Amino acid sequence: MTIQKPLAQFRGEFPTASLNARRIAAALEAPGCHRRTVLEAGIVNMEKLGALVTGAEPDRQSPFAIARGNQFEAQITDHGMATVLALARKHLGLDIPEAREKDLSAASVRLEFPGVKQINEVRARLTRQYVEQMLTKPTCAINLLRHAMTKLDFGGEIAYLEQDVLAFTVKGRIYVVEIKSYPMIDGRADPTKASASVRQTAVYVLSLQELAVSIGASPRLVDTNVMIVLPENLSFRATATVVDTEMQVRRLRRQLAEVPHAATILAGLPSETALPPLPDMQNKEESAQARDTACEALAQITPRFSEGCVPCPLFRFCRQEAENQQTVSRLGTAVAGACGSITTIRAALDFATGRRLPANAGESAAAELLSRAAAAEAMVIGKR
Amino acid sequence: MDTLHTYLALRAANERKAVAKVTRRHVHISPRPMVIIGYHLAGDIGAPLALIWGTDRTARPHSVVVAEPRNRQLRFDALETFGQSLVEYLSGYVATRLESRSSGETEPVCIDAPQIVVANPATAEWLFGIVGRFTRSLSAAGDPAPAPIVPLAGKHLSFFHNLLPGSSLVLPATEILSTHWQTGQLPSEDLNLSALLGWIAPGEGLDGPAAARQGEDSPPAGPLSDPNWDARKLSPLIDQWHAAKTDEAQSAVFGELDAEIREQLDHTWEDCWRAIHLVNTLPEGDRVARRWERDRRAWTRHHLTMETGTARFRNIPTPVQSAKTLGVLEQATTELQAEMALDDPLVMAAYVASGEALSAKVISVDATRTIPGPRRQVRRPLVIFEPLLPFTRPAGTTLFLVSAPDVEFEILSATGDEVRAQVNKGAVSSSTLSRLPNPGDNVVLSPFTKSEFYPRPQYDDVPWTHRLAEPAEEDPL
Amino acid sequence: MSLTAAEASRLALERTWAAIEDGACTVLVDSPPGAGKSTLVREIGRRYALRPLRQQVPVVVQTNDQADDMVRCFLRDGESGLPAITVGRLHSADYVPPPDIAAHASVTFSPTINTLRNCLVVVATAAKWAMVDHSNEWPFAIVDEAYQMRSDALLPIGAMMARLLLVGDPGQLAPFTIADDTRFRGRPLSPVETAATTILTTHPETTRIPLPVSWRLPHHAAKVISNAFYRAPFTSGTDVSARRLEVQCHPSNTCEAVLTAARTGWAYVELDDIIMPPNDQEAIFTLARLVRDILKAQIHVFDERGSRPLVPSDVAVGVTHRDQRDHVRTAMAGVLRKLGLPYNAITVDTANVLQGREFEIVLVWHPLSGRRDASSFHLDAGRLCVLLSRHRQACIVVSRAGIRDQLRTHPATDPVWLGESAPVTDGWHSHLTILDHLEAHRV
Repeated sequence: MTIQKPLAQFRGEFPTASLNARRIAAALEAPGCHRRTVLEAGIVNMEKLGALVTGAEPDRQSPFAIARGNQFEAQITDHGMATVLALARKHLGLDIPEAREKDLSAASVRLEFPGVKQINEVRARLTRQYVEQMLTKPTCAINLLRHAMTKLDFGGEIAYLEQDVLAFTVKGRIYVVEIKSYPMIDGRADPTKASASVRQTAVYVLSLQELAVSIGASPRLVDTNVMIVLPENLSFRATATVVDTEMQVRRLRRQLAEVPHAATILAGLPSETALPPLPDMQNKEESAQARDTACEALAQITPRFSEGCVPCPLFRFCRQEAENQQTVSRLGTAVAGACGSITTIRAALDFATGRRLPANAGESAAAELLSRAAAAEAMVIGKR
Repeated sequence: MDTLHTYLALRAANERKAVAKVTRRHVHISPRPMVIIGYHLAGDIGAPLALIWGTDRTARPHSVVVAEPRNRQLRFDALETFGQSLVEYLSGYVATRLESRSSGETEPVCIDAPQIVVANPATAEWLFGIVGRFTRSLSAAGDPAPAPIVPLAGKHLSFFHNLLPGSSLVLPATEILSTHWQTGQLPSEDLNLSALLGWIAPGEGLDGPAAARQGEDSPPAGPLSDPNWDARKLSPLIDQWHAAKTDEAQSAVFGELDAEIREQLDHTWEDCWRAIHLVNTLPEGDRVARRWERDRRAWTRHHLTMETGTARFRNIPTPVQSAKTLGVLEQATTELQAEMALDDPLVMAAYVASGEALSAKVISVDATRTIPGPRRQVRRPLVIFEPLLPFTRPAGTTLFLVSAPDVEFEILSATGDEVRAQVNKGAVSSSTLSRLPNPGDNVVLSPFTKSEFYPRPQYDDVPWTHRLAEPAEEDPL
Repeated sequence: MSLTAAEASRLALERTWAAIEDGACTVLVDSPPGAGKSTLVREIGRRYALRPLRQQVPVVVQTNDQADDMVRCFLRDGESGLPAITVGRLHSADYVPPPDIAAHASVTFSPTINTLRNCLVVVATAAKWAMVDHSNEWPFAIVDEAYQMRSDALLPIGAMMARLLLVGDPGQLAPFTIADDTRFRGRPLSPVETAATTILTTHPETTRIPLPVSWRLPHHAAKVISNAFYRAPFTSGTDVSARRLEVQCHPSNTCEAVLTAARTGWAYVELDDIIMPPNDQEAIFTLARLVRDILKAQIHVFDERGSRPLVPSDVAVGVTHRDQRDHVRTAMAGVLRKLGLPYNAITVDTANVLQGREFEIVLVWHPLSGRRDASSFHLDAGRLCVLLSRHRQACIVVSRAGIRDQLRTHPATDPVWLGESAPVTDGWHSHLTILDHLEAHRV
């Protein structure tokens, strides 16, 4: 049985999303959530699903942020990559006299091979060819790839990964360069954004390592030290920093090996559990019906609600569910951890006030702490 | 999170309304704070889009709106208007009087200090950290040149950046609310001012979660605007403003833009004032005034360096400065924790719940007890307590009397119904014995005592061990 | 040709000395647990001080206990035939010298540096050195525990001392602050980073010498610890047969964990998979019972020094939180009382306090035991490393089951401060490696 079959069955006719690095990196963001795992593995379009079940408009990126990002990237890659080369010299200590770049974007490949079919496959094949040449013939004509296309096994599904990054070789090693547009101010960048960048870049590094292996080369030829290029302070002047993604690559490798786990989660569900086709959102009745079906399908899969859920498109849905079920995890991992094996708010408070007596070791330990807290508060505020 | 706050969060969720986690107010509230709210352009932290501010809840706040935030001239014009207003507000806090220090000397200290209220820590970071940082060193020779008030205001803004824990010079509304109330949502959800207010004061016919949802659906409190609003409203209006052929047409578009932005920001203006009002209903903790005095002294020092033109700000602090800052921060952190607990029995209750503090009834006091000291017998009164909550810290634990924090106890033994402790300091001589509690008293012993002052080494040169060879570059807004 | 352990250690020492004699401005010795760090500090200190110039060598340590230990070892060296040396112990005003060294003729105690001019070596804590008048100058100094020392504490040292030998264990817990350190993150030379990191940043040319042999860790522990936590591999200085515990009581009178630990050097006691707040009574009780069994099992310790009966001070319990420590101490006091021992007969402490200490048998309350979610604090590689590398003979780990699942479900979303050097070891990965090892010793 392929893993994708039960996932496809569950997804039904609901739209898929394209698999990109951000999406694959998400496997590292909520590895404990069955619901998220299934939806990610099933390549479900989460934004659309989120909009359907919460009724809220999905958050898009501000046009201003997009414009600025594009402007910055254009500036960095202009003039024969002069900026990138200079930064690589300074930050990676690599001496590259010039960039001999190859653009493998769909547009560029179509131009080169008019009428080509299965464009992604062609781009992947070209990427493979060029990487092979770059690794085995260091003096080859090309030393920098843009918009390369790599493949990654995502639970049995081959994901085509458009490399947003640049990959270049020096002396038979591959280095990855990621261009981002959040600023580095007085040497510091937003740590949350940087964390996301590092996770995403790790996906590219991993897929290039897999590619290296597939052509019989060592994965170590792909350097896990990646260069992230950012605007300096408020200007468009570029600065760069090198960060080792080895930790993330290793975690990712393990998480990807867990993707097949999604199929076993689904195996336990009633066979007819499936998402609806995307309704016409203008049609009230149709969308209400689809929402109910989607909610029912989602309710079959256990979520793991926590602080990390806020950026997830299903956040509001899962939050409402946690609220309805009065689970302690609604209040975050700290509270849930302190409540031990007690899972509902009601029960936790009953133990705290002695209305209910613990039945096992886990309950007694949590009950002891909670009732101390209740007593300590009562000494100040008075009994409730 | 300690167990008391876990318990309070559970209760808040269950009661569908925030619960108090204090019985006192732990911040100073100025009679005339200045509320400042702002947006910058998405993806462009150096491009202010709008600011609204004022010191009077009932009056319409001042505002500036930048029709094209990427235009430096327009940016400077807006910052000039804002800067004038800010400097005028701050100039109301320069009167001094002579006050004595703990060392006995007297020095002039500003009678009162300004107070800036912002919606959240992100706004504080943007306004003081970014806008302040990138305007304070702007040169009048630049092109376009900012009015001199812009860098002046930038220096003031920079002063308000990165203040000490326990300072009330800047109050981020979400922060002061979550210091005083516990909601029943995720900690990160408390960063949304409207949602947080929804939990604390849901309003007619709503409960906490419902009011929080409503708050969540209102426009963001900044400094980032709603990206969907950016796409739907802001972006087309800015395009129209550019496309407008005549001055009238342009000012018509500007009027629309102004109204649109104010609609986004106005409710946050009201929210900030509600937050101040809510916190102000609590009685002030005893040690708040001490921290405000520290604030007034810090403000006085800043004011003096501005007067004499010696205010200096570093974009990247030297290792020596960082080390000093860290020392001061550590001390302020410890002090704030201790002072809040000593000021407020409900804050202290968290330590009683965790078992770090002992809440007990005094059974007996042997004030005359002596034990052999290094040279002679020394007086070490013995107090026997009956714990109100089981106390299980091991023998040797040091605790202090909450009502007289310099009285130090050492736990000798603790069982379920009896805790024996000897007094080691603070009430071991005939003149201080009166500080001992009396049999029958209910007392709390806690790990908090009066803060000690540690002398810090004084030096300014960066030694060879901490010298890097890279110069910092300037980059104005 | 392969070197013996003793030769390899000697070689590292000579390389260190050669680098100093060569005039290197900074030398950093990376020492795994129990690799003879303190011996190296004293040997180098002696050699430098006894050069014809007879220049005084300041030795910077981190705590008063470490300072007293250092003095003690210098005195012992002198008694065992190594060149005797006058030692100064610089201390704060309210310090009381421990009785065993207080009256020793070769050591001078003083709160001021000026009265210690004649001492060839002066030992004091970094905090005390910071209060010395900065116009004092020394051509060379030794910093012990450079990975425990905060960068801000190195500033006054740098102001007075021209060249440094830094010695420390890179696998230990990093220093920390109670303050919110956000404003220092992501910049080089943060005051919260380690002194060693600072030196490596400002002096990338620093000679870095790893000590290759752990004399503390037994054969069956050195490899595990080296693999899980250290970049530079090390081995054990003793071979398999050199270290051994013999349980003298009848096997039926003790528990399997004690027998397994005595036989293999490791035992993993796994309790039911229940999510537990920090007051896990069963874990506390298990630790107390294990200590009782160990103390009653009439264990004999065999090592390269000979053999002797195990005594209570040979045993320690390592925990993560202070409230765990208090709970365990309270439970342990009961056990010890029944055995007729004082309440503090065995050491119970957190990883932070156990750093630098060693025992024959160490019991460890696993940092992730009973947790619902792992956190970066509990995943810290340094914490686990300290707890698992304090023993000379055996280590018994007590934990709730379910750690593998905790690791599997832990998100990799910690903030990343670009420009900050990444931690050398990934705690998540170290935990997995250690778990694989522990599960092979489950009782």
